[in-house]
Amino acid sequence: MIKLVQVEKYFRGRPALSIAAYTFERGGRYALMGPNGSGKSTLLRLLAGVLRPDAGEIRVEGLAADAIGYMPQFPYIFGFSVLKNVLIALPAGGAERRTARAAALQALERLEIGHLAARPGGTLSGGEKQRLALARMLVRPRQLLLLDEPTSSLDRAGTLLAEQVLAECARQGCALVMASHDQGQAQRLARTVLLFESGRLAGEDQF
Amino acid sequence: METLKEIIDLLCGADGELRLIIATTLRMSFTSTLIATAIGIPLGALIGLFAFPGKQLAVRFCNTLMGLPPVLAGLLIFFLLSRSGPLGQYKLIYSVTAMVLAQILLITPIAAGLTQSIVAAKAPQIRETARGIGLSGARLLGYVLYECRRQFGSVLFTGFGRAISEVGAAQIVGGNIQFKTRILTTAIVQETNMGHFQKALALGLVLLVISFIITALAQFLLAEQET
Ligand SMILES: Nc1ncnc2c1ncn2[C@@H]1O[C@H](COP(=O)(O)OP(=O)(O)OP(=O)(O)O)[C@@H](O)[C@H]1O
Ligand SMILES: [Mg+2]
Repeated sequence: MIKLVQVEKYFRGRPALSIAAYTFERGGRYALMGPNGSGKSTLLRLLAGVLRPDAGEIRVEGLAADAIGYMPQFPYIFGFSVLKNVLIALPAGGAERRTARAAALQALERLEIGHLAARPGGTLSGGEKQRLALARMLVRPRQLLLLDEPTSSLDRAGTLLAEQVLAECARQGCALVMASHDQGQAQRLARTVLLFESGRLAGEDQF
Repeated sequence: METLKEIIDLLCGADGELRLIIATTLRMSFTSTLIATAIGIPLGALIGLFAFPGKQLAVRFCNTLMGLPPVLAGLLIFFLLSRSGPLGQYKLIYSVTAMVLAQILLITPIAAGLTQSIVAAKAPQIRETARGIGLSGARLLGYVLYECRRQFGSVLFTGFGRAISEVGAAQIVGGNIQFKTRILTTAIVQETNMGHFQKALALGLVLLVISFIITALAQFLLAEQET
């Protein structure tokens, strides 16, 4: 699905990520683990197309651009309403227009923040913002979800809820690539754990 | 005290000249600010938000124009509009329209430059998030403009402050013609040159009060929005 060949990324001349060869398979579930600054976010940004590699190639095969959802480590929440924050992830016009509102509300309900739909985005707590970012990504059908520590601000219940929702997506065939510092979460959600150290792939575990 | 009496005399004067001068000043300042920000803010947002080849150059160009000397802007518009200039046929030289054009030339880069730096501060995070949910192009630009609307208020006032206090360009392309293109600043220069210091001072005070009222009003309106 996504093939990396000789990929290198530098920041100010210092290598941040270097991967000789790796392939993410269709429908796979990957957890990216490793200490702070080891290159997890950099890899997700490269996969999402936010960053371009300085060397090598990232080949995306058989995936439409809008079938990929990416949630940054610190998602931006707009000042307008929570509902509108979700609506902006849907196409603006056309036939979907009528159903957009219902779809957005349903996505919010799934993350149990339906009651916040009318609140201005700026007034949400950290965890509520993270739930909103998840709802916004999931409002459209996706074939690949790139998630950068999607539960880092969530309480215990919220974490389990988010995991349930993501597992449901995975059951429907959506591939997951997710950075996490939580070993238990990686084991619950992933089939493959990639371990990063100083920008290099230091290990790979399969369950 | 005498200055105050002078102001009252001027304001109540039978010929109403001061009222006309104030009206012309406001008309010129408002019109030019509105047009300049209508161009400058979206332009600055485009430059600040999107990555494109030549972006650095665009930013530098903008910043250079922000410091464009008013006299030079006036001269440029003068050459364009003067009878023998390329737009001479429209007979716009020494009109309020000419003054508005000169102010637009001065304020648009300021609006674009300020907007660029406002938007650029949020751009990386917004761009990354937008990319992740498939939001792009004109829609994204629209939301970013909406997101920064409060800061654009101060862009508007900066532009207005520039327009209402500017004298060099207005003098060159307006010509300070009585009952036609005379505005507060050019009138002040004229009275000073003629040795009517009392009157010049009175006009200066009027200018100060108008700026103050408009700034205070604006701050009040912006503060209302916050709550
Ligand atoms: N925009 C940038 N400019 C300069 N250096 C950067 C930039 N982004 C990342 N880096 C550096 O690249 C390295 C990898 O960063 P990355 O964000 O990928 O780490 P991470 O594994 O996601 O860490 P964390 O667990 O803290 O989120 C770090 O040393 C970081 O300082
Ligand atoms: Mg990270």
